[in-house]
Amino acid sequence: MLAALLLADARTPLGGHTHSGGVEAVVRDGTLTGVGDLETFLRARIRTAGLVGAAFAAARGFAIGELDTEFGARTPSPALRAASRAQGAALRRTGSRMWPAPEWEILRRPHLPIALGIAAVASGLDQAQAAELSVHHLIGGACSAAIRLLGLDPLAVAALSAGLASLAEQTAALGVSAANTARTPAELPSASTPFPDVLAQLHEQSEVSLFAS
Amino acid sequence: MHREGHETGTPNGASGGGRPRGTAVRVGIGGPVGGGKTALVAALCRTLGQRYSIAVVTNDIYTEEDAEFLRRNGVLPDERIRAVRTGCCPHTAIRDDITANLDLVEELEAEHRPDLVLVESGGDNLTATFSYGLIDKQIFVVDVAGGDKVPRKGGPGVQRSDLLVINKIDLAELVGADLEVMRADAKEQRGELPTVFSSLRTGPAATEIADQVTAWLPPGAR
Ligand SMILES: Nc1nc2c(ncn2[C@@H]2O[C@H](COP(=O)(O)OP(=O)(O)O)[C@@H](O)[C@H]2O)c(=O)[nH]1
Ligand SMILES: [Mg+2]
Repeated sequence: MLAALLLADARTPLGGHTHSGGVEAVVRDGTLTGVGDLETFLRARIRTAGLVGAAFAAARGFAIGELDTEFGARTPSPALRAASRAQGAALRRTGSRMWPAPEWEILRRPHLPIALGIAAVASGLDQAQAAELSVHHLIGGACSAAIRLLGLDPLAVAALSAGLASLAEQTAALGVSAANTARTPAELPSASTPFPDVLAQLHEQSEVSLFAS
Repeated sequence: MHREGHETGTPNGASGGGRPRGTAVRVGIGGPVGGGKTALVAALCRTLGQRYSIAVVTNDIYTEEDAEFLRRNGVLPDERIRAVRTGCCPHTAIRDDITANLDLVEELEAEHRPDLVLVESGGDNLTATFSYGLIDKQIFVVDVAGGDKVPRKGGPGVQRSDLLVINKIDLAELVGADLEVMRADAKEQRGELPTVFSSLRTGPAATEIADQVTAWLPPGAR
């Protein structure tokens, strides 16, 4: 339990604070302007990117390299692939100090959900905890970025996060069962929202940006 | 501009944790917006660039202006400058969660084997300070235009940085800053730690600061 709290804690240096989970791009685009939009955005992202991340973080018994390749195939935007690897590398850097394990040595820059899966196993978490952490980081990263970029009321955003908990838990559970029924990593979920992918690519090319993604 | 992240995540290289120590000495340059951090980076590159191999990581927010400034001035080739986007939290990126900076510093160390890596923080307030998990030494830059009360206010940068630079003394008279007051307050706050008064406008070589940085480099550096 304590390991799960440490992995969920924004004070643990896992590199997440430099990423907005696509929020900066939709703020610039004018699509996301308030707490209501943030909820709409998150409900769509949880069901898609959230489900994929949860399934990959919960997947056990597959070769790490194969999982990593399959996750890359589900991330068509090169900018988002780079962002995912940057965050996975940060998690590996810190996680391997917190819970040393040989699995950390397989990839130097794993995708984020792969690194989270390794951290979960190394720290003794179960699949559900790994999947929930994955969805939790998606929500937390987007929420804190929206607060910083738009000056949203942090109490209202905290209430939104709490309100999303049941969807997050359901999604994590779906991710776990998908991880357990897949016979190969290729059979893991691949839901996506193309609009944020396109915007992420534009974000990468824009001159003025505060977040790495 | 080189951005964070590689396309491939293949074989394990540097150890996942801690600071795989190369030979580079890492010097953080922090301080409030507009004090002269970028001007100092440029000065150090000009003055020390002939003798030492240097690389720079900049944390400035909004644009990659600092990197562009260094490029425009031709003080460092493009591939030796990297920029971190700090997600609106410049102090977090140099203190609480240094992973994005470590990533780029190590990348530069692996590619260029520099003697010296300069890490410029994004402009922040007086309470910002570098983690020694990221850098070996830190310089804190304030300017006289911020008022001669600044050293008295203290804060970790003023009190404990390895070198305090009080810049823009060419403007002291114009803004009515009393340098002797600043000197006395800095001494009071810092004890034996060094303080340098500078004008990067009238003394763009920053000789005194460059000498201090040189003293931090191992005698073996070429
Ligand atoms: N007059 C004067 N201007 C300076 C001096 N050093 C830097 N500047 C100017 O102050 C401004 C801010 O400097 P910069 O290096 O970008 O500050 P930073 O935000 O700390 O990186 C620029 O316009 C510099 O040219 C100085 O010693 N004297
Ligand atoms: Mg600057």
